[in-house]
Amino acid sequence: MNGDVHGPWHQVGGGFKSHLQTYAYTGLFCLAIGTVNWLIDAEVPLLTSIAVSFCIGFSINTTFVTLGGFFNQFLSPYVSPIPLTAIGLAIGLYLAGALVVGEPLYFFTQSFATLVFGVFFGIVGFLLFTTRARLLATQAQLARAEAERARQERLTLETELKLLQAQIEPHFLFNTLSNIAGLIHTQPHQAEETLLNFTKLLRASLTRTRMAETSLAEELEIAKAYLEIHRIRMRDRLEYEICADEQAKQTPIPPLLVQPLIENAIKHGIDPKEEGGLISISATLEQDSVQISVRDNGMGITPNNANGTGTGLSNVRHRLEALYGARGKLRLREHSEGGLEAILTIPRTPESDLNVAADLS
Amino acid sequence: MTGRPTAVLVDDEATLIDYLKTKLARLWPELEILGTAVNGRQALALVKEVQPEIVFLDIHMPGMTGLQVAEALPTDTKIVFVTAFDQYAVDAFEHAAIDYILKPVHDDRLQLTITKLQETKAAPRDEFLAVLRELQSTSSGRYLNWLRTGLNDTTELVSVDEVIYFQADQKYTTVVTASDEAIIRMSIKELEESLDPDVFWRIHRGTIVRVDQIASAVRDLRGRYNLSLRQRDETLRTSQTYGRLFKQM
Repeated sequence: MNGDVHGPWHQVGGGFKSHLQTYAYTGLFCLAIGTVNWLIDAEVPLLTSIAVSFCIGFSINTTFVTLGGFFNQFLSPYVSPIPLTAIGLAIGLYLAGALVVGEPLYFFTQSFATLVFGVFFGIVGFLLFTTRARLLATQAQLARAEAERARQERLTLETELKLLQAQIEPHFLFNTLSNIAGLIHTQPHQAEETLLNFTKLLRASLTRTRMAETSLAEELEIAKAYLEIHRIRMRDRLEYEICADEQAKQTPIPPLLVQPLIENAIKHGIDPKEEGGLISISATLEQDSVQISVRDNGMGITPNNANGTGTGLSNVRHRLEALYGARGKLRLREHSEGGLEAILTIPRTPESDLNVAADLS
Repeated sequence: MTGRPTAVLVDDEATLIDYLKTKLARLWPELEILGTAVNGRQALALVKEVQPEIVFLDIHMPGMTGLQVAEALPTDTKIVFVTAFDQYAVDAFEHAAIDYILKPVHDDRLQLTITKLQETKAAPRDEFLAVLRELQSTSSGRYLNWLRTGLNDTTELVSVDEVIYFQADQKYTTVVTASDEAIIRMSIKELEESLDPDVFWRIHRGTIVRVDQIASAVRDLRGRYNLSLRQRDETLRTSQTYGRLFKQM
C-alpha cells in the first residue's frame, strides 16, 4: 500500500477532531443550561441540574453524529434535525431518569417541567448548532468557489502561454531555417518566398497573442503562409484549399484558434502519410456562430500517432472554454473514407454582450 | 573495406538532401554517395541494394521514422542521425555516443562527424538498440488518448483529456465531459485497463472519474462517499469497496 492518499478535494465531516470540538461546545452549552435551570428552580441541586442537562445534551449530540448521515440520505438537511433532536431528547431524558434520579421514566411520567424545558432548550441548541454547521458549510463552499476561480485563472494563463510557445514550435523553426539555408544558393527565389512567409508568421504570432480579436480573413491569410512554408518542405505531398464566403471572412474571431488545427492536420494527418494528402479549410456563417472546418485525408487516428495529438487541440479547447463557456465548441470527426475533420464553432456574440442583452430584456 | 567510403542519404525533404550532399562533397570529397531515399521504406530497400558503409538518417519521416529504420539496418552500418530539433533524442544520443547532426547543418559540426566516421567503427549495437527502443517507447503512449463515440459511420472523437467521468450504461458506456455526453462501446473494465491510473480512478463497479475533477468527498454511514465535481452539478457515489481510496489517514 502506498500509505495515505491526499486528494485534491477536501473532506467534509467525519473527522475525529471536529467531533471532539462539537462535544466541547455541547458541554459548555449544557453547563450554561444546567446553571440557568438551577437559578430558576432552586429546589433542584446545582449538580443534579447540570448532570441532567449533560445527559440530554450529549444524547442529542451523539444522535446527530451517529444517525445524521442516515437521515440525511432521505431528508433535506433542514428537516432531518427535527427527528434527530426528538430521538436524542428522548434518550437523554431516559438516561437522566435512570442515572440521576434512579427511575428511568421519571421525566416522562412525573416531572413534565424538565420535559418542557428540555424540548425548549433542545430546539434552541439545535438551532445554534445547525446555524453553526450551515455557516461552516457556507464558508467551505466559498473557499471552494474561490479555489475553483483561482484554478480557472491559472488554467487560462497557462493556456495562453502554451499557445504562445506552440505557435513557433522549435522543430518547425529549425526545419524552416534549414530549408532556407538549403534553398538560398540553388533556388534563391524560393528561399526568399519562404523567408517572407516565415516573417509573416513570426510577426503575426508575436503581435497577435496579446490581441483579443482579429478577423477570420486575417487568420486565413496566416494559415496560408503557414501552409506555404510546409509546402516547401513537403512539396507536392501537401495540397490545400481554402474556401470561405466574404461575409464569414469579416467575422471577428480570437487569434490563434485556427492555426493549431492546421498544424495538427499536417503533423498527424498528412506528414506521416508517404503519399501525402489534401487539407481543406472552409468557413461558413451560421445564425449565431461561425463554423470553421479543417479537414484532411491523412492517416487519421492510429495507435501509432494517437499519442500527443491532444496537446494542441486541448489548448484550443481550454481557450474556447475560457472565452465562450459551453457555447464555443471544438469537435473532431473521423470520416469513413479516412482522415480527420476538426470543426470549430465560435459564437458571434461574446459572453459579455449576451449578459448585457439579458439585463436589458 | 577497400576503396572509397560509401554513404546513403535519407530525408523526406529533397532540399535538405541536396544541401547535405553539397556540403559533404566539399568537406569529404572521397565519400561516394550511392543514392538517396525520401522515406523509410525506400531507405531500407536502397541500403539492401547498395550496402553503404554509412547512412545519414533523418528522424522525422512519413511512414517509418528514422529510429525505426535504424533498428532494421544491418549491424555493421554506421548511422548518423539528422534532425532539426529533438531534445530527447539528442540527449540520448549524446549519452550513448551515437552520432548525430543538427539541421541546418554547420560546416564545423559536419567536419567533426566526418572525422569521427573516418576513425571509428559503428557504435556498439546493444547499447544503440537499447537507446532506440527507449526513445520509441516514450513517444508511443501507454494509455488511451482518444475515444470513438457515436454508432454510425461518421465517428466523433473525444479526447480523454476532456472526460470528467465514465458511467456504465447497460450495453454501452456514457462518456461525460463538461458540456456533453456521448456513448462509447468500451466497457468500464476495458477502460480501467487503458487509462492512466494516476489520472482516473474507478470508484464504483460502473463508474470511473477523473481525480482532479473531484471537488469534495462526503462520507455516509456505510463508508461510501458522495463526490461532488468541479464542472458538473451531479454527484457520484463510490461503492464501499472503492470508498477506501478516499479514506484519509
